[in-house]
Amino acid sequence: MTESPAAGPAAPLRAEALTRVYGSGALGSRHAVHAVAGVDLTLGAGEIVALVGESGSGKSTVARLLAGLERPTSGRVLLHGAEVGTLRGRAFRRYTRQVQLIFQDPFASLNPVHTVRYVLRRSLAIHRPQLRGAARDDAVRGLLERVRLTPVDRFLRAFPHELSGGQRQRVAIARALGAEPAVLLADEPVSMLDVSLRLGVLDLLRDLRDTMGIAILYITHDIASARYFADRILVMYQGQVVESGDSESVTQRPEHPYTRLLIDSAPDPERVVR
Amino acid sequence: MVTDPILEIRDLRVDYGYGADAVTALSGVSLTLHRGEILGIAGESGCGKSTLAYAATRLLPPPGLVTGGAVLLHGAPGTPPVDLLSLPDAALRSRRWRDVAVVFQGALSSLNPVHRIRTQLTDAIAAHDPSSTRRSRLDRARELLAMVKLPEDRLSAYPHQLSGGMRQRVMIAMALALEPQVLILDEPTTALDVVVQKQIVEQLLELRERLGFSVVFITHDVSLLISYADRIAVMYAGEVVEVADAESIYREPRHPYTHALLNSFPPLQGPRRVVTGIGGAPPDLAALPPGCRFHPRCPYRMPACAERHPGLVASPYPGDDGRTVACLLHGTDDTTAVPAALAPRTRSRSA
Repeated sequence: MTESPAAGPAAPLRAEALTRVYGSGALGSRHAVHAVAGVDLTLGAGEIVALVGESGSGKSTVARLLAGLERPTSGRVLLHGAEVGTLRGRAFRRYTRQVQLIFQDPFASLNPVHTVRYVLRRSLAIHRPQLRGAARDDAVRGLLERVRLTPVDRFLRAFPHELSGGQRQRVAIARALGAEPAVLLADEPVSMLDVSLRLGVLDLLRDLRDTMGIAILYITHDIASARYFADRILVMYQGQVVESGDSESVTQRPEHPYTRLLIDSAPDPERVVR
Repeated sequence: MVTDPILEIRDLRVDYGYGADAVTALSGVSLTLHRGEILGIAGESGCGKSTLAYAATRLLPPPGLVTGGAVLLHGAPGTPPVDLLSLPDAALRSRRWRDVAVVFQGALSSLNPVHRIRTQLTDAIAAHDPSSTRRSRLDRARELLAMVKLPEDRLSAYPHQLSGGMRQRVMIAMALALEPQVLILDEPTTALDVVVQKQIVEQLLELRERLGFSVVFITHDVSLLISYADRIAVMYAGEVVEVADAESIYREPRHPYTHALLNSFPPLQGPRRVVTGIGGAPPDLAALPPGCRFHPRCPYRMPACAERHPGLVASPYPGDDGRTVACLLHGTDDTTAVPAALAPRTRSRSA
């Protein structure tokens, strides 16, 4: 399943020497913070790549840069091989149709005063305006089925507070799917969920990859879930990718001392119980 | 291994709200913490594990209300235990923090942002030990910071100048200020990165060796408990469903929920096995199912599970000394009803 990292120029999303400096923009200035420093990343079609690191490693900044929410200080982002320029207005909307973001906190990312039906209709109205009336309603039902929120009628009228964390995150995923994106950027999509529900959401995302060929960037601090879910893992430390490779090699034969530290620090019953 | 108890929670019941709208968050929880032990409490959000920490220390904010039970703190051998729940306010105030101290989850919200660490540490000591002098309090604050391996100059820092891990260390230092016998940790490392988490937990263990306090460690991360706790109690929907030593919980879970919870953590080492999580939704405490509270999500449910509520009883198998489990699967004479995943290891092999 793992595609070669160099999946050709037509890879859905690719970043080259991506750099983001905060504070004084001038490189080399004393107060500048290099949140992301020269990150190369390729997300092939239908590929799941995990970006693993601790808080402050720059992994969320990478997500914001790839989502077009921020401009890189230097380096570039390529969507299907074409360089992404300044994103404003229509260009931004066109871009978000291809690249959708899923946030960590499904409570904060869903408006509490709107029903699930409203949230999904809005996504369709924005990204697929050609769907109107009954067609839009059918599409809403299709989205709910796709994220396995069934029976659909029960969820259409529900407000976010009536749903569990896992169900809310599924609504957020359905909303992202409304745009029919080529890429999902999932920034800690399960870390706020109850442990028993996390795998269900990850399995759903994997299923979407399998059936729809969506490429997924999975950003997480949990290297065990990255091993479970991703084809390839990139380990980030202080703004740089320090190790990358297929999930098994990175987790079973880590080479960089930081990757080893991450793995040694993760609680792992097998290692403790003799 | 079994020593005398230091903290005994007996049939603790907590409601949120009053009258007809009351929701029961804890329905009769009994747990014993032994001297020098680390008791882990594992469960998901809404299972009542934090409510337990607050209720047992009488810190439960309204509308939370303890409706029954006792929390017995055992002192020196020979003296009768004290029930923290029926202690008069003044007596409680003088004992609190000296006997039982708590480290809460949000270290940032537990520290006052406008005071230096020094002030907060010395205030805590002054509040509980009014006879101490300024000088001795400051010395103690220095000592405490050294204990959690923070440099002395951090005494002059404000909370926002510290990292999350340093703040949690300050909270631990504060909890240890009066050398409590029991330390309750409520998700102490949940907001921290794994590397820092490991450092802090191991430091706590080291301090426990040195100072000899007992620990109640509450977390949703059962894999963390397996690494560090002596015994683990698993909670679901306001009840304890299984208690056993850490290794037995991991090797041979008896309750289907424990088994499913362990299967919610993908392994980092060894073969990449398929893990499943748990289907369905976590229980709504306001609308609990009849019978066993886990039965709607349980892969092994029987017809009886929807009718009879299982109590927490001793595990019936030889070699399961001291283990308790609340599941109808284990209660019957028909041992073939027990799924292999939940049965004692040796028998499931021969079967």
